[in-house]
Amino acid sequence: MMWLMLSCKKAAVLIDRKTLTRLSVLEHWQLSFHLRMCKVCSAYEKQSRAIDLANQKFNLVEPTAKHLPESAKSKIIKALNEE
Amino acid sequence: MKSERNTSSIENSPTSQSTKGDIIAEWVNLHGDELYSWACHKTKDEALSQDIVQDTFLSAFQAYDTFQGNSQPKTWLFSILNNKIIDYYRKSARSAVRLDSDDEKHAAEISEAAFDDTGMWKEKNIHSVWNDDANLLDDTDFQSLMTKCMDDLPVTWRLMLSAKYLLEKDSKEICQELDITPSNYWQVLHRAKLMMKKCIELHWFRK
Repeated sequence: MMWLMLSCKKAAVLIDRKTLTRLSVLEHWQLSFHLRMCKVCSAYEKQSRAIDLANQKFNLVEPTAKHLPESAKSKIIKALNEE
Repeated sequence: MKSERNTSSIENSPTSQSTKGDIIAEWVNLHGDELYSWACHKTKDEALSQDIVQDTFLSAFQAYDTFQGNSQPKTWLFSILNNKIIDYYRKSARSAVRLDSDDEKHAAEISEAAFDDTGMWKEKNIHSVWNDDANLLDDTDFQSLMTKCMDDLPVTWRLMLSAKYLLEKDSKEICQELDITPSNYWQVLHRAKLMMKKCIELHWFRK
C-alpha cells in the first residue's frame, strides 16, 4: 500500500497541477486515495478551485476606459518626430 | 503608365516621409486612449502601459511601409500592442521561474511555512472563510480581498496565475508562448496559490 501514500505537501502539488494537465494513472490513484482520507487536502482542492474561479472573474471584467495622459501623448509625438 | 507611376512615387517620397509622422501622431490622438486602456487591463500597471503604448507607436512608425492599408489602422495597432504585451509576459515569466530570484526564496519560504517536516499541513483547521464556498465568489468582501491579495503577489506570479485568462490559451500553449517548461509553470502556479490562500486567510474578517 506504500505506493499509494502521498504526503499532503505532494498532494497539494498534484491538486494544483490537475487543474492544468492530466495526471498520470499512478498520480491519479494516489491523489484520490489521499483525498478520501485527508480533510485538509480535500478542503484545499476546493480552495484552489475557488481561487481559480475568483481569478477568472477578476480577469474577465471589461477593460475600464482610461485616458492616456496628455503628457504621455506629447511624449510619444515628440519621440516620433525624433525618429 | 509605368514611367508616370515611377515619377509620381519619386515626387511623393519626401512628402510621404513627413506625412508618415503626421498620420501616426493623429493615430496617437485617435487610438491612444483605447490602446492604453487595453494595456492597463492586460498588465494592471499604468506606467508600464504608457511605455508599451509608446513602443507600439514607434514600431508602427518603423513598420509603416509594410502597413498596406489592408486592415484598419486600429486593428493593426492592436496587433502590434498585443505582441508587446506578450513580450512583457514572456520576460516576466522568465524572471518568475529564475531560481535565484528573491521571489523564489520567498516562495520556498511559503511552501515551507505551510507544511511541516513530514509534509503535513501545519494548520489542520480549515479556515472559516471557506465554509460557505458555494456563495463565496459572489461575496463582495471576498472579491475585494481577492483583489488585494492579487495585488500583493509578485507581478510575475500574478501574470502566471492569470496567464490562461490573459492569453486565453491552454497550459501547453502558454508554456510555448512564454518559453517556459510545464514543470516551471505548475510550480509557480502552485506557489502563487499557496500564497493567495495564506493572504486570504490572514486578512479575512467579517464586518
